[in-house]
Amino acid sequence: MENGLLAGAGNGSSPYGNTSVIAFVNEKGGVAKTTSCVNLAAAFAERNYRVLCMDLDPQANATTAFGISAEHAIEREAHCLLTMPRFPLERAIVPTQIPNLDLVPSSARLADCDKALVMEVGRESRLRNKIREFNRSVLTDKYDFILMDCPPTLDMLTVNALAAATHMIVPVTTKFYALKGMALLGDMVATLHEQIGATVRMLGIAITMFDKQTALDVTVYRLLKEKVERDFGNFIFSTVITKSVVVSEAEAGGIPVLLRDPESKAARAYQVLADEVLDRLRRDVGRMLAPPLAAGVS
Amino acid sequence: MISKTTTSTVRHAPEGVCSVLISINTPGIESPVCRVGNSKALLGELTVGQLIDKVINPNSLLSVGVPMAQLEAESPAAVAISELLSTDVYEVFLLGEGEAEVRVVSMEEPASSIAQPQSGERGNTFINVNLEVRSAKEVSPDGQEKRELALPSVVEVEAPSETAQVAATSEFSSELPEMPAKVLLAPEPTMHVLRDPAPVAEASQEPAPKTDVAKKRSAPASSGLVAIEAKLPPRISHARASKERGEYIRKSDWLRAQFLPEVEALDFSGLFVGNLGLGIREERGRRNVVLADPARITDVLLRGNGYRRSADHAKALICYQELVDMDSGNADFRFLLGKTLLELGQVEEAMQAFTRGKELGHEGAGKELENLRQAGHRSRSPLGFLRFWK
Repeated sequence: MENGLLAGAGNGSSPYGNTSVIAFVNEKGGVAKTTSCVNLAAAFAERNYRVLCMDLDPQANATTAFGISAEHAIEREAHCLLTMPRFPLERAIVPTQIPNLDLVPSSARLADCDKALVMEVGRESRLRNKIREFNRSVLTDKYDFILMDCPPTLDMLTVNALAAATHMIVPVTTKFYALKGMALLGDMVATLHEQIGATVRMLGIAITMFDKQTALDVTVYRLLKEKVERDFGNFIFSTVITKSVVVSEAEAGGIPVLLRDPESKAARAYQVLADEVLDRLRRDVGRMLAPPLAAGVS
Repeated sequence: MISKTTTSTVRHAPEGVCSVLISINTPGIESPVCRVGNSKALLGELTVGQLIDKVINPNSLLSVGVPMAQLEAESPAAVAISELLSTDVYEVFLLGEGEAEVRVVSMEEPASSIAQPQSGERGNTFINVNLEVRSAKEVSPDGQEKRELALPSVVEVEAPSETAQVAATSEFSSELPEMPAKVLLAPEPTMHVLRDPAPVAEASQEPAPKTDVAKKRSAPASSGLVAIEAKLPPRISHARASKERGEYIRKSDWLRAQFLPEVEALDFSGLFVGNLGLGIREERGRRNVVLADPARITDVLLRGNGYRRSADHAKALICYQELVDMDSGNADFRFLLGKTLLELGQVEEAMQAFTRGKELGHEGAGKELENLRQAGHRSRSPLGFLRFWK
C-alpha cells in the first residue's frame, strides 16, 4: 500500500494530515455526482489507496451502489454522525465488498438533519471536526481519501461537506440548468470562505453524460471550456464521461461499473479520470500552504 | 466485274452499357458535384438519399478515379449539401433539361426512377440524374410553436388576498405575444399581474365575449388563484430561424449564438475562491463583459459566407475578422478566416489563424495547417531558413 498522497508534499499541507477530503457537489440533480463519487472511490481503492466514501445524500444512492442495504444504515450512518455530538466517525463506518474501500452509509433520515441541527452551535463545521478527531486519534487507521457524495441541494449537509472538504469536484452535464446549478454553488462556496473560513479548493469540473452526437452538448461544452479556461484557468478535466447505459445497469446491480464491467467505455473513462484527479491533486497540494483551519471556527 | 461496295459500321454500345451522368448542386455554389459511370447498374437499388450520400462523399466508391482537383473543386458544394441534409429544412428537386424544374423528389424514392434516359443520334443510351438540394422555402412551425403562437403564456400563483379575482378577459383574449420578425436572442421576460378587475369592468359595461381560452383561465378564480400573464421569452426553433433569415443557418452557429450570452452571464467565480482568492469575485464584478449580439454574429457570418461564395474574398475577410473580434473563442471563425486569408494569398497569416483554430479544437484547421506545411510553408521562425537547406 502506498503512503498518503500528500506524503510527498510535506506533512501538514492538509487540515487532516495526509488525507484528502474531496466533495462531489453540484446544486443540480442528475449530473452523475453519485456515479462519479462511487467509481472514483473504487478506482482509488484499486490503486491501493485507503478510501472512505461518505454518503451525505438522503436518497442513499451511493449506499446502494456498494450493495449495502438500508438496514445497515440504521445504527451506523451519516445522520448519527452529524446530529450526535459524541458519535465518532469510526462508529459510522461500514466495510464494503471492495478491498480498501469503506463507507459511511446514508438513509432517508438524513433529510431531517437541517431541523436537527438548527439550534446547534457550530453546526456548519460538525463534519469537519469529526474528521479531524478521527485523524488525530492514534487508534484509527487513516484514509488516504475521503470522498463525499453530496445531495443536490444547498442545505446543511452540503455546507458541512464543503466546510470539511479540502477539495471539490463538480460533475456537470452539458446542459444549461447544470451550469446554473454550478453558478449557485459558486456563491455558496464564496460565502463559506468568507463566513466560516472554509478552505475548499476546486480540483476540477468533470463533464459527465456527454453525448458527442448532440450539437447542443458539443456547443455548451465548448462554451463552458472557453469561459472557464479564459477566466480562471485549466479547471476542466480533459477526461469526458460519455453517456452510457452500462453505468445504469451497474447501479441496478449494486456494484460500481468499474468492477462490474471493467472493459466498458465508461469504466475506462473513470480510470483515466482517476489518474487525472490524482495527478492534479499531486500538483495542487504542493501549493496548498494556507493554515488548515481558519480562526473563528468552532 | 467486281463491284465495290462501301459499308459503314455503326458502333453500338453493348447491351446494358450506357453513359450515366449524376450531377447534384445547391444554390449559390458554382461547381456542382458530378459523377460519371458507364452502367445503369450504378444506380442499382439505391434510394435518392443513398445516391446523394454516395455522390457527395469523397471516400465512396463513386469517387474512385475522380481526379483530386475535381474533388477539391466540388468540396464547397459537397459540404453545403451535407450541411443541408443534416437538417429538416431542405428539399430535393429533380431538374429537367436546361435546369427546368421538374418536381420535388423524396429521399426514399428509388434512384432509378428519377433517371432521365436519352437516346443519342446513333442509338446510344445516356442516363442523366440532375438534382438540386435547396433549403426549404416554407417551413411550417411545429406543434410547440403553433401552441406558442396561439396562446399567451399564463402562470398561476396564489392570491395574496381573498378579494383578488381574475381580471376581465378581454385583455387576455386580444393580447397575444408578438413574435419579432428576426430575433435570435429572446428579450428579458416581462410579467404583469392582472389584479384590478374594476377599471376594466367599468370601461366596458357589457362583458366581453369569453373565448374558450378565457373561460379556462377564469376557472381557478374560485380557488383563490390569480392569473398572471407572463410574456415569456419567445423561443424560436432552428428551422424557423433559418426560414426567417431566408438562408440556412448552421445548427452549431445558431446554438452558439443562443447560448453564448447565457453562459457568459453566469458567474462561476465563487467556485474558484479557494484557488484564486476572494479577490477573483471582485475582479469578476469589475470586469466589463462585452457580450456580442447573437443576431449580429449570425448576420455578419452569413454576409461573410455570401462574399466568399461570390469570390469577394476581401470583403469576406473583413466579415470574418469582425467575427473573430466578437467571439475570439470560436474555432469555426478562425478556420473561415484562415481559408479566406489563404485565398487572398496571405499564407503566413492563414497559418496563424489555422494554428489558433487547431488549438481551439477545429479538425479542419489542423488538416489545412498540415497541408500547408507539407507544401513547404513554414512560419517566420528565426530558423525558417533551414527549410531551404533541407
